[in-house]
Amino acid sequence: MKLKKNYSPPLKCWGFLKEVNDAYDKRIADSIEAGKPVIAATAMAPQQLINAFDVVYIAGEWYGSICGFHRDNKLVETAESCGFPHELCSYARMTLGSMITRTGFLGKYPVPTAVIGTEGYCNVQAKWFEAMARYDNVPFFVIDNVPVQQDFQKNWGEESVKDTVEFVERQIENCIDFLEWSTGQKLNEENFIETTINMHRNEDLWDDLLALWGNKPSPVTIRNLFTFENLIISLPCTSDASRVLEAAIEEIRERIEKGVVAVENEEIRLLWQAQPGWYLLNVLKFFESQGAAFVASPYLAIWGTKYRYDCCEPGTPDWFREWKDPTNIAECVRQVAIGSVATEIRPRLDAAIRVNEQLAIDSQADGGVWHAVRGCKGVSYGGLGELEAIRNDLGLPGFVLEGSPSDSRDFSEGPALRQIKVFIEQVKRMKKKRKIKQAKAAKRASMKSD
Amino acid sequence: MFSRFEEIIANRHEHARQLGREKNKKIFGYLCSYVPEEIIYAAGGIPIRILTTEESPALSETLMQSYYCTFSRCLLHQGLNGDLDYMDGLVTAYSCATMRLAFDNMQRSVKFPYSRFLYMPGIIDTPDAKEFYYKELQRFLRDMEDFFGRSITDDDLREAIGVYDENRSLIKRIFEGRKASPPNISGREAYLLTLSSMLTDKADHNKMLRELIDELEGRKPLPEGASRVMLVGSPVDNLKLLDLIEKDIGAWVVGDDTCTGTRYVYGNVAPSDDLEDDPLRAIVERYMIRRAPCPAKHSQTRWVQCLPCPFRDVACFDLVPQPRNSLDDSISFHSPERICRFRNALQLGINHHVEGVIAVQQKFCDSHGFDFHHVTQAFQHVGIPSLFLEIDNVISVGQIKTRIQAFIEMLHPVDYMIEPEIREGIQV
Amino acid sequence: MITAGIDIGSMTANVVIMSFDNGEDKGTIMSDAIIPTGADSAGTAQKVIDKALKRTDLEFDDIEYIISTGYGRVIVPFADKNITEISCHAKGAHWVFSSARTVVDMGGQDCKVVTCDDTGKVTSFVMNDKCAAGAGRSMEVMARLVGVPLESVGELSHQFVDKPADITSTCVLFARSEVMELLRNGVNKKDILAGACEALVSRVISLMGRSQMEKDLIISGGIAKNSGITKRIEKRLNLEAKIPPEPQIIGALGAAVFAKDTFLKVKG
Repeated sequence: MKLKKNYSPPLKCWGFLKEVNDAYDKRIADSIEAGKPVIAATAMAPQQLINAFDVVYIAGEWYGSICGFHRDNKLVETAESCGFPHELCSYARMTLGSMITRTGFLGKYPVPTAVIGTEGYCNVQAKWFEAMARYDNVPFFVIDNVPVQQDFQKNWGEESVKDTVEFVERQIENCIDFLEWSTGQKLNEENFIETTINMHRNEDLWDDLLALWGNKPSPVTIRNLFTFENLIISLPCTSDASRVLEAAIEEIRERIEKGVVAVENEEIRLLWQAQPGWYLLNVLKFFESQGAAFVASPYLAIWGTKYRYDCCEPGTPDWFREWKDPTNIAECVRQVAIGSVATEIRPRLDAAIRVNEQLAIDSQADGGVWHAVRGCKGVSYGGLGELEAIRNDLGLPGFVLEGSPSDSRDFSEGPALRQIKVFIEQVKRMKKKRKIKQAKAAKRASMKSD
Repeated sequence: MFSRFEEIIANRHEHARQLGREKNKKIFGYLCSYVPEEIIYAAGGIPIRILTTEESPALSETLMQSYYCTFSRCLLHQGLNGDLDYMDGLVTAYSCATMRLAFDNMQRSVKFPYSRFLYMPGIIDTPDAKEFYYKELQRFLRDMEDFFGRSITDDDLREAIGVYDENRSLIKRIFEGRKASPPNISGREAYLLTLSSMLTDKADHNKMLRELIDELEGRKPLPEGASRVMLVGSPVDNLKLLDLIEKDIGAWVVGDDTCTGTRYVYGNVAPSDDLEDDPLRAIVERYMIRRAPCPAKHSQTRWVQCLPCPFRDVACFDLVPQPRNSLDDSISFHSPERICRFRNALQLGINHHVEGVIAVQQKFCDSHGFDFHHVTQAFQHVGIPSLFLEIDNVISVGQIKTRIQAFIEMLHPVDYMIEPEIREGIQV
Repeated sequence: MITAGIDIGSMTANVVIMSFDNGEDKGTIMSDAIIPTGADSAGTAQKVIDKALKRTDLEFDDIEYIISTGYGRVIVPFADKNITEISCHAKGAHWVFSSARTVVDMGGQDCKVVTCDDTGKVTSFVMNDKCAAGAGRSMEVMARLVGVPLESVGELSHQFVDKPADITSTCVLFARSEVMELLRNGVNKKDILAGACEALVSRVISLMGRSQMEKDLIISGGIAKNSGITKRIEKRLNLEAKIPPEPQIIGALGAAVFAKDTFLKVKG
């Protein structure tokens, strides 16, 4: 598809972001060469803990998305030829393919020192890393986040969450032992405190960034946000990330004041659910070319806390929701455990629906697009239920776009773009109708009062 | 001989409905074999597993995307279709995200008088995990007491455990005969026993099993089959698959590692030190440690215990390819506290003299899909080849038959070809 | 002894009649016949074997043993046994080339890669019969869309003007719309055919990746006549492929050889 150039000028902080990303890539390459321990883990693992050690942390999701961006389809084909079915998570197939061929954008994919998976958010994150650990025959650790239904109103609700948090705390303590044993290093308390505080600060900054994005009209595009997302997945525990986010937030605030908009003709505002197809981000640009701006995303909101705590169950106790800067390892472990358990809200159907509706209202959305990411059970969890709820409760139209996060073979551009065009027309029509209805109602109200 | 088991499966909802009426008991539907049925039974309910039918899961399409397995969508479809109206409760234990979505949707859209999602941890062998699940089941027990309006004593639990253990033992006893050549019962008949057990009152089922054991004594031996195979993988509940393998192609299914088959009856609660003081803890022990695990469950402690093992978690013995006939029947493996999934499958395969493994995967099943590569490798190490077979709720006969037949032909070149008379003679 | 193999495929049915002097004799092909399958598989079976017999001075009853294979193998009323096309293709390819170790067969609606040992016995196989995109049918669709006869697809695909068109859709239905769009945008027909061949070959290669491939590589089935496919496979694998003189009868040939082995065993 041929699209025009971006409407708004590039953000000044891109240079800063590139610097930080390049430094990160270089650090990884240098560390691998220097023989530092390599931890292959999911991005949902306790990043604060792993980054407190002096290791190379290769987050599977980050790795898989970049492979998808490079359209490295040979990797998925290799994984499939080794007996991993096509229907599995595309990030997993990319990483496994990389592991099997020992190639990839990092150069040689190193044999990990240890592998850490998580269970609970999406059981695939445990199976995928288990398969990696078995393949290379290296130690493997699973942290179970337990998908607890945080029904604080039920009589055993709070008790159940308390037990879960304690269980996760014990597991994180086991994980500390595991990491110390596999890396040969001792956990440095100051590092752990620093990473924990940094991560929390970055989560808050991320929330601010998302809120600015949801401004009407929107000052940045969703593609910009996905570029920033790379930061929060791979560098969430660093102060570098904080500095970039702070710079971005300031610059975007200025844009709002000056009236700079991202999409030339922001006729409709949409919600975007799930990852994009990293291999063809221009699909998002196509929406913009039709006057549709994406202004909120429940998937991106996972990395913050606002739509984890603020939207969560009525009756959430303070000990679960409040943050206190940790001063020792035990307090760090507790904060990390609470964070992990709280993230489980998203994969719960009622909570997911609640978050979607709240986001749609907060961002003044006119409709939503659910990217049916084939093979990704965690992120598409309850997607169709969310769509139905938005349609029934808020009267907003929804659209399901079939695709995959990083396997370009699962996406058909031609039919998809045609369907998108039709959907956007529908949203515009419905918005017009709503406006006419509201205007009539307002007129009636003012006539009554006369 | 097996027709009464067949009837239960063929008319499962009607059967369960009548059961509840006749015995004046509440029927609880459950989705996953990890649900501690003994607790529901002790409370006075009858747990009935919800399995697939060949009906297309059309009603689930608006709630679950097409890349969630058909198995789970069929369960949701039955709920939305009103097929489960007679059920008083719906329970499941955490095993995979797909089943969880099916359950969540059922909970939202179908009004069961009681519904509960049990937070079974994905880690099944640390003391913390067991303690966590124990507390969770204590809460469940309190819920059951509230719902049934009675207290559930340790004796009630012990009684339920007794009934369930007996059921498992009786089925295991019958399954022992599958080691023989030819096996005492066909694979289809074996599944009839396990599936019907999930769909009825265990006490009644025990009676039927005891009668069957007597009847089997005088049974004419089955004809020699073309081969001996084993099913490993996702839940199999469509008997047409077994008909295809056994009747059409003529190979006996002499064992399996599926949760609708042998895994359902593997591991009893008793004997247990906890049975006297705290039967609930014994139940936790059985469901977490003693039963053969699903690939959706993991060990957290493996990294220490299994470090010396060169093929960690794939098989717990020194792996040098060995010719099959050098391994004897009662091979004993180094046993960590937890039953290892591969060890369990390999042990069964070797003890039942399996010649080929059919790795069944429900299309879109992640847990089994990720394991397939290593299942094949594990069996290859003991000289047993595998066939990967993708299945759905409906068996597409042509494609599956070609693959299985080609697999059997590969195991037994010309020998397979010359036994048409024997295949015709199989009347099961 | 005279034996026959009959292969009822989705698009064509064929028969091979063979004669063997004794058990060790490699045997000679007495005749073969190919006809389109049509709707009535059982009727077709009779027609095609009659056609093959007419080319000899044999009667139907002279045939000692008949084995059927292929998609419609169970519907052949006069077959003594049926064996899958997987085993038969390995056997047939091995009969033609005793050095055969990997056989790629692409029929009308499926594609299979079979590895065998030095006796022609199957050691592993992978199949793709769920999707027409990896089978001969997709070539038919492309040829018709572009408006050229199927037989010339191969040659034309090598004469691409600019470069092979990039056809990204895995599904042949979507690929169809892609190709129509390319034609509308004025992309050269030869480039499109080249692209279609590349796409099909990619799928075959990824299927092949799942088996332990060894040479010699044999390509059989209708697609073996399409140099646009065979040459590309050779190039991608950096291997020379051997193509039997009559690639479409390999299945029936293997079945006829199996018929001999089976008949001898049954006789005692």
